[in-house]
Amino acid sequence: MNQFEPLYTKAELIVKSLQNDLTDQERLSLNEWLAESEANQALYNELTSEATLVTELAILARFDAKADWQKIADRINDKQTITAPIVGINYGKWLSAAAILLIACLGVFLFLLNRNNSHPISKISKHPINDIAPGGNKATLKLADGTIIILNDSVNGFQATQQNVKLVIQNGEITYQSLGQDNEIIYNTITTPRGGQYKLLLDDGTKVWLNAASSIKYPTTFYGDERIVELTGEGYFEVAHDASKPFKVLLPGIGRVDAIGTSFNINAYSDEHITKTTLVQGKVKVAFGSKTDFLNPGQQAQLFPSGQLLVLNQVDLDEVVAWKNGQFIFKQMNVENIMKQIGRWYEIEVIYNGPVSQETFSGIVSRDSHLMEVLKIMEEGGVRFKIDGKKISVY
Amino acid sequence: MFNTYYSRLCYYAYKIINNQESSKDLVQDVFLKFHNKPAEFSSELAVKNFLYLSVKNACLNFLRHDLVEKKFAQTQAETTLVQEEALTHIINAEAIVLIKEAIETLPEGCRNVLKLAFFEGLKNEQIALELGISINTVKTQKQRALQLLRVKLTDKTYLLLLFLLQW
Repeated sequence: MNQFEPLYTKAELIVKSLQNDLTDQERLSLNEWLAESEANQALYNELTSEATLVTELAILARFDAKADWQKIADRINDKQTITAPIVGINYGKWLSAAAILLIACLGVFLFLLNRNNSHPISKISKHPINDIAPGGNKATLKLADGTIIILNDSVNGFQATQQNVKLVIQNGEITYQSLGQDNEIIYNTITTPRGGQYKLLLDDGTKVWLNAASSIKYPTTFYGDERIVELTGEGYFEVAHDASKPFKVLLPGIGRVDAIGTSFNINAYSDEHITKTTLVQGKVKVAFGSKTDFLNPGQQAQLFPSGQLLVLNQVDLDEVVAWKNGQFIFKQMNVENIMKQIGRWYEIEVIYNGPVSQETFSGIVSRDSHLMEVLKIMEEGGVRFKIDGKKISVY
Repeated sequence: MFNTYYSRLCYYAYKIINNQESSKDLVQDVFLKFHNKPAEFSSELAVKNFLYLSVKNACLNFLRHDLVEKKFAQTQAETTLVQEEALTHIINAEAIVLIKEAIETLPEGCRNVLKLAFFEGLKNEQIALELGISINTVKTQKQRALQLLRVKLTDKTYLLLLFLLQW
């Protein structure tokens, strides 16, 4: 017997004794083992102690097979494309390998010669007919006078003038040039539809990533001693450092987030129960009604509909900003919460038939994937979907 | 295979080297190694033995390098002690997985409530919002989970859970 196998048996005995489920024979063998050494007794005591159990279960929970599977799958794929390192050189082996290679090449050559070219291999679509394509970079820009401009990657060379500010769009990127000195504040608004996202650079160098079904209202130039923008939906901010001009994000009807030079994510969708502000680096102050708090990196402020403000420590930042990095990362998330994110990106309406499964799912999928690939995560867990146009029924 | 053994092997590695990220790296390396020669095993038990052995060796190597880097004197006695501990940690890993599995066999509703409370440290109100159910449902589900767990775990553990869940 392998040296490890008796250890597996010991573990079984210990857990059975925890569950009061030992047969007389098993009890005997457990007692024998316990009597063997003090170390065994100590291990038994440890594993049956309340405090240990709780800590250890929490440690085990940190290692999530589903979430880490992608990493290893990527590495397996890498391995297959990289040739194995050659250790030592055996000329005989090489010669025979070369001969085999030569024969193989000849074979392929003859095969190509003889192939009947009248039947080209038809390209089978990777996606079934009713699959739904992912969202992309698209948004609308509303100028001060109400003019609406459609933004996407291909808008190029567009120009417009608003009072003393000239607007230029090159390769989907917006820049403003001041033509005069009259310091009048002009507000523009960028709105992403469902299935859209957009990245923009503000006048002060601050970068903003706007997720689907979101909007940001901002001045074309930041005058005065504050930088104020207004956000709905979800946005990720990399605020350019300027201690003399605090950066403030107003969340209409919800509150405000103040920053100096930091990176943070705000998720303030009206259809989410909780408004979440997550700090990636630097420091921010959140102010919701009469409640204010400061966040440190890795902390997340959660504002509940009841008005209660909670600060969570060490949230999973990868999961929070996954959308900005072109991914969906779900960690033990239930169907309803996953479908909210998916609905916004694939522009679909979700219909629930009967009670929603409270099963949780974990997985990482690219936001460039077609819908079916994302749904697969949950289908493996037994959730069924029916796609009818842009409507998805969940069973 | 990966789903069955990944978290327990990470946990096992963590018990030996006490470093979360390196544990994941070591275990992933072992799985890659396994991926390259899956045909050589006669049974699942053989695979399990191989995985534990590989992770154990990788951990001991890791510790050796760590010690060299830190320029600690490493006596033979220490090595033997570490190796013995590395073996008994297999009992820890196997036992904790069995206990987790006991929790997993609870009915779905109360299991989720228990998991959020237990593993995620959420309070009743957060659980209610997270799962989209009422606070009263959270409370009843917790009660139910405890009643069922009582059968599965001893009273001693049950009392602890009761204490933990009384927020």
